[in-house]
Amino acid sequence: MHEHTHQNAPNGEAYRKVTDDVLRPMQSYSLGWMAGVAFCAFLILVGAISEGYQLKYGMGMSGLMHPMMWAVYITNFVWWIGIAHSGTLISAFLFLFRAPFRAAFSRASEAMTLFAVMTAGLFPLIHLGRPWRAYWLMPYPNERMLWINFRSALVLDVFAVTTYFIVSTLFFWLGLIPDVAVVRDRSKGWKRTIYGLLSVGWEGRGKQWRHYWMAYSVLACLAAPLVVSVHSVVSWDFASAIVPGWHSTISAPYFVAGAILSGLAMVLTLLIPLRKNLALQEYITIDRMEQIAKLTLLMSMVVGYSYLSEHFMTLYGREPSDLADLWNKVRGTWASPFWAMNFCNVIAPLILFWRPARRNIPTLFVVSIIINIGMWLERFNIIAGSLARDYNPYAWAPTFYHFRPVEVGITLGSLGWFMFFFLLFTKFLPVLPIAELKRDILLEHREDIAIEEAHEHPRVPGGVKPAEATES
Amino acid sequence: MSELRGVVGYFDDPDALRAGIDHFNGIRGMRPEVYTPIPDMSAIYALNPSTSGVRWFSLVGGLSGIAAALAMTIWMSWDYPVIVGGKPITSLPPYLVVAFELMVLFGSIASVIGFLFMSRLPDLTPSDAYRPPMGVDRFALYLACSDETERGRAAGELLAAGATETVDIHHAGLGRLQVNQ
Repeated sequence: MHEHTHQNAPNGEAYRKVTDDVLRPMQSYSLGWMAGVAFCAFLILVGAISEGYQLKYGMGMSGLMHPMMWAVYITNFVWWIGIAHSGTLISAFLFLFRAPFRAAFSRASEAMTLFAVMTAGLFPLIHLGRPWRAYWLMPYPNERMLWINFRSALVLDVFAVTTYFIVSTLFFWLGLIPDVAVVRDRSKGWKRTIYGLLSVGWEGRGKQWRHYWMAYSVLACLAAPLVVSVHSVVSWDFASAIVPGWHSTISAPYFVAGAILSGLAMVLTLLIPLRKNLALQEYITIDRMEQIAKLTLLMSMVVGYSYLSEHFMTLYGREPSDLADLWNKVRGTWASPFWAMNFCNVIAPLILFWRPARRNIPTLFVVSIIINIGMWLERFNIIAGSLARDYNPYAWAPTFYHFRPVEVGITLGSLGWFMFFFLLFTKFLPVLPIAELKRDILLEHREDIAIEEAHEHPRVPGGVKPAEATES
Repeated sequence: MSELRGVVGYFDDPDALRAGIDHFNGIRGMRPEVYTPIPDMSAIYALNPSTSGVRWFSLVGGLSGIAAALAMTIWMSWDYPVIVGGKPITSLPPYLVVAFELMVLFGSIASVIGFLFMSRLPDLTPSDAYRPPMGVDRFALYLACSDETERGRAAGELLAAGATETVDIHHAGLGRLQVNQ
């Protein structure tokens, strides 16, 4: 990627180029970007009008009806939380493992996490029907001095998602500080004030780096298990109920795997246009995309294994209500979304076994969109599909779920809401971690030197190994 | 001319900076400040090998989170004791989930506070030695000094350490969010 001699470390020019390349998109507003922002604002308006209509006329305007009292909104909540998963996962895990391809994805995926959690958080409020009562979920003595029930998975979910949002915000901001300081130094007027406040007076001094590195490492260590815990807790919203199709011990790892798959797919969906529109192909290379494609393929297979495992346990257990739920999905009124889900999440990603497909950007983009759709269908199958066949055959839903316009409008509004913030991010913040990219150039150089020395002195016992020479 | 504050020596690249730090490690009484756009931790730890104290903030924050969560859940459960699903009033398994989440939350917030406190941030008034290129592509060591004798010695040592250029730093008297050009 970067040309340099093996005699001297890359000098200022290489580092200046990285800074200029990453900050260039922040200098102008393209017509396409403005059109994108305007379109997202329109979708938000559609969502707001739909929600206003639902608030005025009540939840009967949605398709929620007994027995499917959880459907589109909770599906959207779980889908967005799942998407939010991979951002911090990619960033934190790859940081802890010192993965060399982290820098290409970390910033955009952290931003994705933040905006996806912001979007997910809207849906429990929308689903409440009376969002002004949302504070009832907070631990305060409400009716007759009664506290919230800490044994409820729904309350645990409030703690998990709130923690995830705050920690992801801190992780994102901490990563931004050195880069935003550069933007501050190049800005004037109100922009200097905002970037100056965001960078808290960062100057890149040795003492600052030392404490920064420790804080960032600790946050990565804390965020990594948090990622796993949050979606496990989301899965317990369902698993702790006795509804057939929900009540399963596999739910937590199954949900985590699905969340990672959907997050990786969304990373691809966002980065493919981003790298082209911001001319960042030199940093987000085909090799890096292929690495994400391999991870996507791996997670797709884990998800496929989870599906098989869940169905096997149903068949093996032969519990009548579980079997009724399964047959309804396999060959009943829910067969279409069930098989579409399997195709999207398990069959279609198999094309990524083929190397040319992994390295073909349009193919990756199409696969990522298919997985995004498949993961939404998966959540819809689990949530509404399972409720359609409860224990009581008298209450079974005779038909498929009826989507209503307000649900479609609110869902489109959530897509606009998410993309609106992501587009603002691409224009007002560095989309790649500049300091980390520079560090990668330096470490790459040191590794080259170490390899050269190892070749020159192959028989020196205990000679310098590349790994020892490169990592600090 | 405003008051002399010190001398900055610029180095060509991170390896030269690292060699410069090693040079000063052999001189007693001269502790330069590093300015680098790259988190080259081998160089940064060469100057100050002690581990950052931020980790103690993280530990205390995490333990506080666990304690706060257990205190909150157990006390609130006993303040209005209602048996739910035949479970004991103090049902530790679900409370441990809250404890884990608050451990992460308090630990993370404490880590960030620790970073800001230990680094003496926020500080919106730029230091006299800082220049914008130090955030982009310049690697520097700064030695504080107050008179001409010290200045001469500092500049000499910086050049001996491999600096390609030294610049005298005077008190800039900048206000908040202003930039030294």
